Amino acid sequence: VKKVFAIALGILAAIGGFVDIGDIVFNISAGATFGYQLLWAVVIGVGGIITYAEMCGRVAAVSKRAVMDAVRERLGFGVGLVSLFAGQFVNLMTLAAEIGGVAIVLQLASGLPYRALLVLAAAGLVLVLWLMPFGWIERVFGYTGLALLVFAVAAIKLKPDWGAVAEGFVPSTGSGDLVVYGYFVVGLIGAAMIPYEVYFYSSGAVEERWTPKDLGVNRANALVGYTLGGILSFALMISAGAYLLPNGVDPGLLGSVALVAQGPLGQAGLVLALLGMLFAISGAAIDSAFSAAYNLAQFFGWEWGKYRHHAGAPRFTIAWFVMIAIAVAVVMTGVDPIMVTELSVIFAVVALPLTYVPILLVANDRAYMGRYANGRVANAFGLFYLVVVLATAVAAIPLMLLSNMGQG
Amino acid sequence: VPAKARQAATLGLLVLAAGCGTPTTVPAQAEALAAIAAEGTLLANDTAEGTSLGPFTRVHAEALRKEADTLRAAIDEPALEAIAGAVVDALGRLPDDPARAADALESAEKAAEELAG
Repeated sequence: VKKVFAIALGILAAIGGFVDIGDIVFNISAGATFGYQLLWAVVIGVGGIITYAEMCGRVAAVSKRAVMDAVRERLGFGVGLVSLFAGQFVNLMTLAAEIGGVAIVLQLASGLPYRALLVLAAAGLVLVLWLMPFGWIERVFGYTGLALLVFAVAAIKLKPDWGAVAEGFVPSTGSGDLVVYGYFVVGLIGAAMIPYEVYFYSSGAVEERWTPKDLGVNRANALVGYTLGGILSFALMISAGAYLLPNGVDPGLLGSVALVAQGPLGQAGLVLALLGMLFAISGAAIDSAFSAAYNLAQFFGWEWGKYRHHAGAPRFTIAWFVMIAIAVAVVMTGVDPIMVTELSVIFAVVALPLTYVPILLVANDRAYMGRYANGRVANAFGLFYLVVVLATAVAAIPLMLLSNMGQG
Repeated sequence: VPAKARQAATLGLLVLAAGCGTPTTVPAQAEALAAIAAEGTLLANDTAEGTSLGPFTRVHAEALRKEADTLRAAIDEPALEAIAGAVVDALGRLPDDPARAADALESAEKAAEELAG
């Protein structure tokens, strides 16, 4: 019973922790622009994160090594360094976008000045990272992020055309501007497969001292947690398609996202939407700050991990603190966090192969993984997603420029 | 700094420098303005009906007003610029007089849509 309970808690945390600012921005924009036509792209992205999270969780449970650690050890310094630079650049942009997003949500709720709230958001994140145990961070932000389910209620209340919703799950070339459509396909896949999620997931597995006995929990967390987390993405896109598209709104602000819940559900919808966004984006900021510190520590062989406490892993602690400071400095310049979000997702797509190819190679290495190496099913999915990742990486920048960042 | 990181940073700067996301043609500008007015109308209606919250209305209306103002600065077409001015004004008074703002924004949306074609 205890084990089932632990799995259920992990799954709940994964659902609430799945959505970050990139998912919110791309799903709402895609729904407002193309209605339900792009739901299939979310399915592709969720399938990708399930496939690779399961692999890197398995690698962590078997080898006690997280992604960057295994990459450095098995693929050498050169490949590892390229992977590290790409990962850190994307992590930093993502972290800047998330911290800016937290400040915007706080501003929407309080009306206080944005820059003061940026400082408050950063100070809050530092306090949480400093004081809260790892398990609590994961669960508190995961559970409270579940408030985003208000978008599922909003979607149902808006009475969408369910036939059209069902059609959206079938891949198509869509109606409308093909280049803009392609840009959203790439963005939705990139937002679902953003690299910090696997760095954090595998490092968390090491933090929680997983062994091969935990492979069932790994599979359940990855498969059920991310699948149900994908429901939040569907809800965002469907509610935007049912509310913003018919009203001719092109959402470019986080306030536009909250409006989608406020319209059909009133003040309660607005409050839950702001609460869910606050905790989902804060949780993602914590994940990306930790991921950046994990990567540096694992690559350079420093002591790392929340369970070691600050004195036991001083360089790890300094690393996440410095990353937060740099991210705050970036958003303090006045750059629009939504613009940073879109750029971070697109650059993440470009960098995806540098994260996912090494995971596939290590998970396939029988000398390393023994009988826990990838089987046929894992390899079939792994190879399919390798093609997806490579294709989206090549197409991402041209589509961003040609589509004027989705504006047409 | 590795070449890949330099290239990524340069591309990012190029995108920002090119002002990606800001429409440049009259139909595209009219469409963008109509979308801002439409969103303002939704917000104004919710506020008038008492289903929004004060800070949210103020902050979101101000963010929309800034977007409309930025767009107005990029518009050369006089008729569209006048509509943009009306949208900016209506969003400015939305928190205090949401019902009148909703009417003004709805009219501006229709006018902008006509110019968009």
